[in-house]
Amino acid sequence: MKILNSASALAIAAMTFAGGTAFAAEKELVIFNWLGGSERDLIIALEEGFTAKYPDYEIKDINPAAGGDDPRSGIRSAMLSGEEFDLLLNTWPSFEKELVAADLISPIDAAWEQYGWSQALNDSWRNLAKHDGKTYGAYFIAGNRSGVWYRPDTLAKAGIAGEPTQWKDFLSSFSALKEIGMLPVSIGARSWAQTEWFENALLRTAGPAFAKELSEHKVAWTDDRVKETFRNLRDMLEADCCAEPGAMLSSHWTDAADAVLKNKKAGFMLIGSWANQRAKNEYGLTPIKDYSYMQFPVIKPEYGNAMSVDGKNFLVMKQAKNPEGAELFIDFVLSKEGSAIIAAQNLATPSANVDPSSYDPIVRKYAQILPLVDVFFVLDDLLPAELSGEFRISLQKFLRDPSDASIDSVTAALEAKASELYQ
Amino acid sequence: MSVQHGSILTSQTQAGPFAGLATRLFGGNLRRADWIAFALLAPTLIFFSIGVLYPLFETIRVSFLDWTGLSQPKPAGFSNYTKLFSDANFWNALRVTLTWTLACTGISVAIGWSVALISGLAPKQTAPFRVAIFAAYGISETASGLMWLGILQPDFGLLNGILRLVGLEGWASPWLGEPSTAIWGVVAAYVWTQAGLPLLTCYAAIQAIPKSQLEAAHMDGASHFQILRYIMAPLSLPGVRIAIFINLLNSLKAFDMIHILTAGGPIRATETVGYFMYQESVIYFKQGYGAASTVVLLLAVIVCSIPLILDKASESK
Repeated sequence: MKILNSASALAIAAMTFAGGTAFAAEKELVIFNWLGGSERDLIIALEEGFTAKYPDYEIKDINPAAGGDDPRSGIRSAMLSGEEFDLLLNTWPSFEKELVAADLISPIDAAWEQYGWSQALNDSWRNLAKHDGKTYGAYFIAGNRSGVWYRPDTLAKAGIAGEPTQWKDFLSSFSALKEIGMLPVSIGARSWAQTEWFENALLRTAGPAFAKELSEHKVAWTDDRVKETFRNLRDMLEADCCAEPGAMLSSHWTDAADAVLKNKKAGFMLIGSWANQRAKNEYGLTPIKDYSYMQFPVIKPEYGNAMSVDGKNFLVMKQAKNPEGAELFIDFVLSKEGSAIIAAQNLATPSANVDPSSYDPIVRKYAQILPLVDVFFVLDDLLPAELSGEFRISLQKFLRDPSDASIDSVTAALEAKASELYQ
Repeated sequence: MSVQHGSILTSQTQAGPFAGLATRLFGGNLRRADWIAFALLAPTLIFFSIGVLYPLFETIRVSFLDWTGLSQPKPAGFSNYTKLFSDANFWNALRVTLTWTLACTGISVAIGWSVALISGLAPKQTAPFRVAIFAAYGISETASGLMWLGILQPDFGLLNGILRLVGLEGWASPWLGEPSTAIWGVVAAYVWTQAGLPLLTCYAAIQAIPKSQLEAAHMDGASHFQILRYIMAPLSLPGVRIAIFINLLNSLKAFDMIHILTAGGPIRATETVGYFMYQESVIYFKQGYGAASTVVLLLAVIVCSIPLILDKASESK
């Protein structure tokens, strides 16, 4: 294995200085991999797969020691301290845009054509990483952010036949859940999970094109379609969906997951596809049999095909010492071999080279619809960090007071902040 | 050597440690003792410069920049400061900081001093309580925060559990989720960790009261309350002053507890200036703006420190 993490690189450096025989790979590729847990294992597996296929390459995997709640802090610190790497793992389009503005990453259009990545990724994925007409990243992991999670036995107990795929049916299912003593919906709104509800309601109310314009501040946050989204969410609150605001504002998405999937205290929750890992690994549940998900209910039929997604891509740094190696690594990640490694870790890839039969049933369910739907990247990750902060707090205010006056007030505050930041 | 050492002490006690040093330094005729003094001070001065002065000056410099940490820094003049004082969120942070600091300092010192006074009357009987209270001071804020998160949790928390058990279900509340109660939930948790220090300093001051004074009061027929009120309380004030000072500074700098319990929320109800600074610099990547709020916080700490510094200076005279 030719993967060096920071510690082993240090050990080799120490051996070298101590007079030991140093070895130098012909080609070194340095990857800044800030992920943790099972996602980090995936990147390591990809790196191992790459060095197995290209033995003249050696990969140095940099994992920042600290970053706090937001890994971007760790990335910034590493860059400021002069850390040099070829590839940066990224998941925030807004951060990508900032890196482009600071001239820190290179476009990969030439490599895109050279390697024929359009065979693997469709244009909607390529467009997610386009800035000023140039492509900067290739997505290799895709997550579903429109999944409403539930337990089939809970719905059966409440007498709810099938998934309530329409908004009206979804709201009317609440009374059945309340009758069996369950909270219909659990929202952990202490930090950011409340934004998932707004974003999906926005996609279903105004569509992805409007959401894109909103994310770029080409339409105002005071637009009536934004207010209509809030009013739709108010319908849900007025249908007595949720716990009291204080309880929502003091709980995380993990509490919501516990309530729905583990403790059977609530009917539905909305969160990204990582809930699959939590349900399987931490709760020991069996996919589909013990838990499942449905796509966010349809509010307006014309936007029933929209899907909120997240994803991860690799960016080639301007200061890369080995840009050819970096592009070769991206090609490997999108290839059949790379996609098989990703699928084996139970994560979905947008690459067409994947064999969907290797996914678990939950991942397969959304991976199969990925090429068919109108994807829109999760709004909160598209916004400048400061607007994202205001967005989260505005939604907390709305959950406490969903009146028309409050909707006017929070949309005005968001518009004021957006106007300041998009000058 | 001993003579020279003695001369240093003599000069310090008579006219302060730096008497004549400037003249000798700029006149180029430093004594051997001066060199020894510099050599002994050098490690401290070097570490102080690296660890305190450089970051301080760098923070002040950055506070005059418009910088995200990736982009090229642009000079911003005083705009970060002017914007800061027109920012409603910063004023909210100042208000929260005032409430937080006064509450945490006042309550911790009141608890610590009260327990110290009672302990002064019955040292043996109260020893377990003193140990328990001081032990909390030794626990990291992170660990304490996680414990209090469990206590204040709305559904399965200990506090609401007890309230429901004793028939006060109506009082059960999502303490950390309501803007009106969140600050008091965090204050309670923080006071729990901080009351040990005032207890220690106040109890030390009480222990320093000459036994003869207490015995004389007993012989004169003073009650326990009178001894506590007229002897122990006034004579333990030096310990109280130190406790107020240290707790005030600790409260101004507090971060971990707030981060764990509420992360500044809900709706900025627990966002102190320290937390505001973290949000702006680390979460929103506004390095210059965050640095400007750091400088303001630093000035607040200095202002709070002045009374004690003056007090100590007058004591040394």
